Amino acid sequence: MLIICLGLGVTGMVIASDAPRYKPLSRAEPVDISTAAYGASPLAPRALSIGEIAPDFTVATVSGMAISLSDFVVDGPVVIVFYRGHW
Amino acid sequence: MQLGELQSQIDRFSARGGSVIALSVDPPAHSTAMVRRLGLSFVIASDQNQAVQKAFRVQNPDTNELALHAVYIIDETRRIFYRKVAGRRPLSQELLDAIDFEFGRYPMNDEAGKYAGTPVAFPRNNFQALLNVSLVDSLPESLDEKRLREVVDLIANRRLDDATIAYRRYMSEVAERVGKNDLLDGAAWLATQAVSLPDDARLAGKALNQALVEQRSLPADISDEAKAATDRHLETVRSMIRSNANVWRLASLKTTLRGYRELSLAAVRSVDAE
Repeated sequence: MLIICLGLGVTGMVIASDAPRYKPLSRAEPVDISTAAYGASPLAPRALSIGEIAPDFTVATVSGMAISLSDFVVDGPVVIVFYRGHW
Repeated sequence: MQLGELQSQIDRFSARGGSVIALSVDPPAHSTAMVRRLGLSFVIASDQNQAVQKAFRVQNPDTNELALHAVYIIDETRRIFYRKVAGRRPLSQELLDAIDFEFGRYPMNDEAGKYAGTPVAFPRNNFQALLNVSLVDSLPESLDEKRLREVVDLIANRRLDDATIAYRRYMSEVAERVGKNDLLDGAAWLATQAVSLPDDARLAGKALNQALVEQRSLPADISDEAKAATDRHLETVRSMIRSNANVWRLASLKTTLRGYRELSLAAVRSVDAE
């Protein structure tokens, strides 16, 4: 991050470095992954998007223990993966 | 993104205070074998009644039971700052970059492997993998030929989806103890075996793609000029591969591989020699 402090009492203007850019599809151009458009899919047009609040949920782990999302977020970011299953 | 790949990078998530919850509609006990086989240490949970997938609105429109493959990352307020629904599956590096960017640490000087495994911009991240991929006749000793022969047999019996699963399952099992180059050679060996079979090179292509997206590092000393030159050459070869995609002839695949590797090597040599 580059911080430029201007004179005359203006507080610092932060110029962010380039955001991570990845390809949403194999043949697409790289896109800023911090934007809502990056992870969108026509298969799920109403899927929760960046900026929205994820619902809390309680689910059972493989050991049968119940866990809640709210228990995990207190420690830091949480990666939620939906995978196909039925292996 | 494969769960095994995620597991292989789990320490890097932990180092950032991150945790992982993976959900499917499978009943809890149904996933036990997978957890054991892949050595998963993060949370695997059951969304058997599909309540969570519905709350996130990621139901698969083609089936009434399954969710679309999707990844979300949330902060301590449960605000979503990254998501990827369907499409190309993200690998761990992308998720780590998202976390680092959210918390003002991007790009991260991460000794554990900044370029690990993700085609950020296809030419750069796959350059090393593509240099390594060649027609390999002998399997590295670190890999179990019996297991990979089973994959070859599945291909021969045209059980291509089973072959893909078996291949990825084995690679996930050995990923942590086998070096990157051996993994790539294993994928290339499989491709070589597959292209020796008549009529079908589709799994060979899949094996190569697996090698390409799972390559672990980029040469640290490659110059910017070399990167730019290989970008151009890589685009040329990508066009070659695309033009062959609908005509998966074995000879074309071999020619493409050989041509790609030679082009890439020549590009690096010509630029670095200047």
